[in-house]
This record gives sequence, C-alpha cells and structure tokens, in this order.
Amino acid sequence: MDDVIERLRRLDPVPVPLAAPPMGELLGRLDERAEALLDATGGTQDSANHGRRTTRRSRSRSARHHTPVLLAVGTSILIAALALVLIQPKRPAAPTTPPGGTPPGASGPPAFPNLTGHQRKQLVYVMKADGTTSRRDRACAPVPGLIGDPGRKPSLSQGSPTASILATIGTLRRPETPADRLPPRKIWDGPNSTPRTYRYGTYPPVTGIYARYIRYARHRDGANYYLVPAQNVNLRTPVPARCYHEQVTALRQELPQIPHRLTPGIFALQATYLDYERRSTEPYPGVCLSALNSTGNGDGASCYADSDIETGHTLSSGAPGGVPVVYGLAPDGVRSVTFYYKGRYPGNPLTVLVIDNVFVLHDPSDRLPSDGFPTKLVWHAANGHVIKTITWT
Amino acid sequence: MERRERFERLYGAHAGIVRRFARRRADAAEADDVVAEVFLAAWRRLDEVPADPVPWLLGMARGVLSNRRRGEDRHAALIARLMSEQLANASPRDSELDLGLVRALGSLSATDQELLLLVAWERLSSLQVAEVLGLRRGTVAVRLHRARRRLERALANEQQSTPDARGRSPEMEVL
Repeated sequence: MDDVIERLRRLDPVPVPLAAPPMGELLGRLDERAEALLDATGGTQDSANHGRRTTRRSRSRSARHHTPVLLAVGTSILIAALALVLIQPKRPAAPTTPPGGTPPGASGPPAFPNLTGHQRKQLVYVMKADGTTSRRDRACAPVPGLIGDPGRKPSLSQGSPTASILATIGTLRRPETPADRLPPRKIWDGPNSTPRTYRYGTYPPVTGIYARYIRYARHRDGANYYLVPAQNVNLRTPVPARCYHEQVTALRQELPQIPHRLTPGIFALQATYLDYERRSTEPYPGVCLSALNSTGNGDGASCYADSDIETGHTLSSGAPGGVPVVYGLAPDGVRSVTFYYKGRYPGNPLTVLVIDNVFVLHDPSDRLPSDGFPTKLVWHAANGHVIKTITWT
Repeated sequence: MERRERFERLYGAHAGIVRRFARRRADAAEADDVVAEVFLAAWRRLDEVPADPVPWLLGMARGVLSNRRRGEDRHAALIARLMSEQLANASPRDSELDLGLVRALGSLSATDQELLLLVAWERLSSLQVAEVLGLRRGTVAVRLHRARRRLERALANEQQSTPDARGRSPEMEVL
C-alpha cells in the first residue's frame, strides 16, 4: 500500500503555491475602510475593535490582544501611514493621460471622508457604539459579502446593463452565443450522497445579473474568463433603519466613559459616519470578471464598479486554472497592458494582449511578487500610444 | 527594522501560504477573508511573531476558520469538496481517482483528519503541528501515529467493501 500521507498529498485540492492576495485588499475584504481608520487611532484601538470584529466578522483570538497604550500612541503616526496605504493601496495614482472610452459620471462605492487626528480619536468611540449595537441587535451586524459563496443565491435580470457599461466594455455588446453560458458547478454533498449540478454555483452572488449579457471572453492557462454585468455589484447589504438610531443611543450611553476633550462634536462625527455607512450599502452597477475552470470552480468572481474600470482598479490575482496569474478588465480601446515589476524585470517589462476586454499575465519563470501586483501598469492603444498609466503607492 | 517593513515582509513571505491553507478548506472568497483577518491580527501582534511564523499564522487561520463555522461542518465540507474535485477532475477510467481514500478520510474524526492533512498538505513537522494545534509535541506524535493507523484501517475496509474503490462508484452515474 502506498504511504497514506503520500496518497493524501495527491488529493491536495490546491497543489500549486498561491500568490498572496494584494495587500491592498486586506481591509477592503473586511468591507470597512473605517477599520483602517480605527487602526490609525492607535491607543484604544483594540477595545473598540474587539466589539466590532467579534460581532461582524469572527471571534478571532487575536482580537483579545491589548496593545499597551503608550506604545500605540508612540507608533500611531507609523500606523496611520500604514493605514493610509491599506485604505486605498491599490488605487491608481492620477493617470498620465485621460482614460480612453470611459464615459463620465461613473458610479461606485463612496469614499470615506478625510478626518483630522482629533476626529480619528473620536471615531474609536463612534465605532465602539456601532459594535455595541451589533451585539445587542443581531440584525444590525452586516452580513459580509462573499463573492463565490455558493450558499448565497444571486438574482437574475432580463434587463440590460447601463449605457455607460455597454459603452465601456465592447464584449458585452456582441451577440450572445452558446459559449457565453456559465458552466454548471458539480458539488458533492457528502460521501453518501449523490453528486448534483448547481447552476447557481458559478454566478457571483450579486443582484440583478443581466443573464442575457453574460459573455465568455477568453481562455488562458486552464481558466475561462467570463464577463457578468449586474444591476448591483455592491456586496454590502443594508441594515434596518433602526440600527442607526440604536447607534446614537449607544453612543449617548457610552458618553460618560469618553474623555471630555473628545465629546464636543462627537455626535456630528457619528452622523457623518452613519451617512457613510448608509451610502456604502447603496447599490451600484458594475461588471464581475469570473475566472472559472472547466468544473465551474476557480477564483469565483471579482466585481468592479464603473469608477473602478475608469481608474484601472480592476486587477485580481489567483490561480483559477491551477497556475498563478494576474488578470483584469480593461475598457475598449486598450489593446495591450504592460506590467512593470520594480527590480524583478529591469528594463524588461511584461506585456500581454487584451482579448475581449480581459488581460491575463502568467509568468512561467515564477518571478512575480507574492501578490502578483506590479508597481506600474500601462494601458496601450493598438497604435502603441499610452492610454493610461496606473501606479500604486 | 521599521514596524511597517516588518509587517510587509511577513505578509509578502507568508500570505500565500496562509491563503493556500485557507483555500484548501474554504472557497476562494472566504479564503481571502481569512487571510485578511489573520494579517490584521498579525499587524496588531507583530511583536509576538515567533522566529518561525508559519505555525503561528496557520494556528490563527485555523481559529478564524473555526469561528466561521462549526468544526464538524467544516470537516464535512472539506470531505465533500475533495469528493467533488476528485469526481470533477477525473475521467471515468482515471487511475488517479482516489475516492476510496477520500471516503476513508471522511470516516475519521475531525481531529484525525486535521492532523493528517496538516502533515500531508501543509507539510508541517510534528513540532509545527503541535504549535498550530496548541498541543505538546509528544502528544501530536502519538495522535498522528494513531490517526495514520486508523486511516490505513479505514482504507483497507473501504477497499474490501468496494472492489473498484479507485474507480467510479455507481452513484456517480447519476450525473
């Protein structure tokens, strides 16, 4: 008999090394940019964060850790710098040229307002009130949006994508063909059950998928790439309106424990925070890029708003076909994309063609950084002209 | 070294390992959530990172996954997923199809499964497994030995009851 450990190794569902997710998505995945701001406040971050994380995400043992206040204050500037990187780390800097083919008025998630140092300290208590509310009233704890979660059924629409999305992504404008059908996903419910095929298994769990406009874009390195436009690609779900009132009540109750110097204006800051929270759950249209292997498994989907496509914030990395790749979505007019990796390919950037609005980079020499993200990305037109330069700080 | 630089190095060197660990046990989106939670915790506890951070990080990832669903659910889901992938990736005559082993693995306790897979997939030493699970090294060695025996016995039973255990089983024809 083969050694069982060796045989178990051959069962490994992820036999190849995976790239790290982009560090910029670290907090983005937690769905709350304010988490980073909370970090930036230093000092009492853990006590406030504990309430929030334990109710919203998980009961990670790490959340019970308490950073000494003096140390945190001393490093708060440093932490703030990191937080700024984490809040919008993969957002591109100002483009060198205006984007081609992207109509104005693009929509997307709201930006968190800039805060002063004083307000960041106040925010600790505002978010603590949020955590308190979530613990008291479970309906007020937002359900995290999980792309690719087969338990979350998407909804379909027979309508058509917005004019701006159709104008930006030409692949969506071509006639539908049989190849555009998303593959079914085979799921085995357990050792003693019958395997079943789930049609919804490969849909991203977003709202109002324009089923007639799903388009197969291309195949590369074992994965098929599909464009899936939807009415709403915001995975944050609204909480009942009462939750916002409950947060105000909670903050009022916690007022005696808040240092006096932080109380003036704290309710105004909370109003700003609640407004941001409310707007963060509002729907916005977009396109999901689904990277799937032949079984309907793979990387699931990454969804982008108009504004993401406009700024070039459409990169993902993973191994949907079994090999690590970096891939993304580009608007019409972009013929090729060049990746620059500082210090790895000196004078030798990597250029890939855009096929049906999708580009995929696979480096067989495996010299890409762990997250696969370049330091600079350049979109080129067919004539070689630079359409946009995207850099990351 | 600056705190931020230390963190970035930790992330760059090990986030892929944590992601792979999580991806073996969850879907892609959940795995990335796990990575995010683990490294947020790591940022806050950066001064506690041991010289060999892998078991420490995987221990946290395990904790995050445990909190997301009950242990038994997690292991049942893992076995179901293995079954699914074995089935999906194999042709009817595929000699690599090892459903018998998946069934045998599924018959073990969650603890046994976890021990075996930490060694087989994460390729951890018994000392590292001990750190991940918060157990003594000696305890891990004994439990691992017993788990291996139990798997071999289950596999033998599986092969006796299903002569063509490495082939396609009757219920698979439903698809």
